[in-house]
Amino acid sequence: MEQLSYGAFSTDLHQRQTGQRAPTQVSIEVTRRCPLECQHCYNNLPMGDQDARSREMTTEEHFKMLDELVDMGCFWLLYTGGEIFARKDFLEIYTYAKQKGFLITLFTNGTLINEKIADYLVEWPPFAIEITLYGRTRETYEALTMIPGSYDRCLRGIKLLKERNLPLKLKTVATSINKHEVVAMRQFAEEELGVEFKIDGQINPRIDCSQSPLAVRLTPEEVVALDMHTPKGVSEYRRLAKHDLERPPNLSQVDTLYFCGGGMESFAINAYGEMGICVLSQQETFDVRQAGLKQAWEHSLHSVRMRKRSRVTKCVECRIQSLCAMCPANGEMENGDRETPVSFLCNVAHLRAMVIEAEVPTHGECEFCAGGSEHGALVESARRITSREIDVESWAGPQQILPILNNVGVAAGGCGGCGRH
Amino acid sequence: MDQTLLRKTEFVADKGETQLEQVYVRSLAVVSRRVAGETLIVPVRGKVGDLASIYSFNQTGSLIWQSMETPKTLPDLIKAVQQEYAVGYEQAEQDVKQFLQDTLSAGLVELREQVSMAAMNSTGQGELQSAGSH
Repeated sequence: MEQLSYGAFSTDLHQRQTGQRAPTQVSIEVTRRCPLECQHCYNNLPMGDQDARSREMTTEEHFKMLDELVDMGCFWLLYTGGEIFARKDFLEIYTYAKQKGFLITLFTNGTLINEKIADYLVEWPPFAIEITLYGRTRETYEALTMIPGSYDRCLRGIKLLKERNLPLKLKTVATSINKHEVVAMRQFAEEELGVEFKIDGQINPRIDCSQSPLAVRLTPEEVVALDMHTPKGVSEYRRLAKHDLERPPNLSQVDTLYFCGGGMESFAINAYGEMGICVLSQQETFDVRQAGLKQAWEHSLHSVRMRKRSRVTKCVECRIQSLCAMCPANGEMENGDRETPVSFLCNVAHLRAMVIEAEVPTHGECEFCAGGSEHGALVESARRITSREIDVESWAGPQQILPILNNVGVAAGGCGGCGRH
Repeated sequence: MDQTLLRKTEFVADKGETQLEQVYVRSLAVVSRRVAGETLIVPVRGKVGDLASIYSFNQTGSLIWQSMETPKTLPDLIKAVQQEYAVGYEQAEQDVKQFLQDTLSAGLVELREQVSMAAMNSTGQGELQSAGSH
């Protein structure tokens, strides 16, 4: 008998399956309803949204889907929302999945976790449970979540899980509202609780095409200042840039629109029983309630994943792709088109490269490269970051809690371009 | 109307006829999965095995695990290995005992006692008795 750590097993399995199309990972969105009303969220709906509730997969449909996932060889399962515990039957669904032997990760805001749920998770432990913390003070947390009392409920959830030694991790989404407490949140997680902490600076428009989350998005300067705030962050970006610059551009090696693991080793099921490449890419999804998962994976999603790109954008020849979050899903959400480069992400990637002094070779008409219309502004931003004129530590001073709605082009409402809204 | 709140069903046999045997069963706290052509044993409940790990078997281990879909005695398992592979009794016994030692200590397998099926079949003495509490 061989005993393997999850990490060793995962690495081994991925190496063995390189190049093969086999669905080993799935993200299942159980609901989009949530007791919080976070301003940056890409998909949350009110708890009382009866239309959303009526369209959600039933408990039995979840069971059936899990049976199918076992048959397909799926092993890693992420339950996400909305808020997973907003569904009263979530533990029933979760237990069924546990009994099927999935390695399950739970994404939650923690506010609905009580003693009963925490005790239950001790009995049926998840592989990991990740709580998103939105602030280190009540004022900041609730300025983002818009719900009084939510901060205390979140801390209670964290305490209950930590007391029981469950595999807890914390993370935050850095926004213009809570950026001044990111350092304090990290200290709370790593030093007070001794748990892993990560920061996500990525904010997308909503999947209903509203651009409203962008109102609280950090500026590219702030995103990069935060990236480079720790020595680990600097060394990691240096490593990634070195790797990229020593090789031909990743995207020039493939001719497909999608280039990630989505549709190859992973996929997502939304709250309404539709399969897509990932939880963000929702323009093209396939109903699995009738056809079944296997059919959708082998035919519909396969055709999406193998689709050729229609044109050569500046991204294809770009040599700093590992510094950039651009992908078809981000293009879809921000531009209504999977191939059009997202200017914000391009800005962030080029600024990262400039701050770590990585020279970016020309790659088509790029406004952020030397000679481009935005290059001068990029040089100035890099100077401000490296000279610490813009400094994460100084954010911890007195803050204006309300979001500053000054981002050009930010507006609520559908894009009208995706044909779904 | 049946007032029974709790029904307990147990095997009994006439005094002096009971023959217990030791059987090995898969723990209900683990689940086996077939992933990428490999049999994996995943602890699913608390306090069983190492929850930060999964377990895999070689060919012989997989066969023994498959055999334990229903409770099996040590001779049953040795016989299963001998039937599948051209090995002598001693080698098969050694493999099975090693497997059981590893899996018992990791909590993947449990040892239980049950009324000997062979004895029941040969004597016809075993019968089901239900006891209700009210």
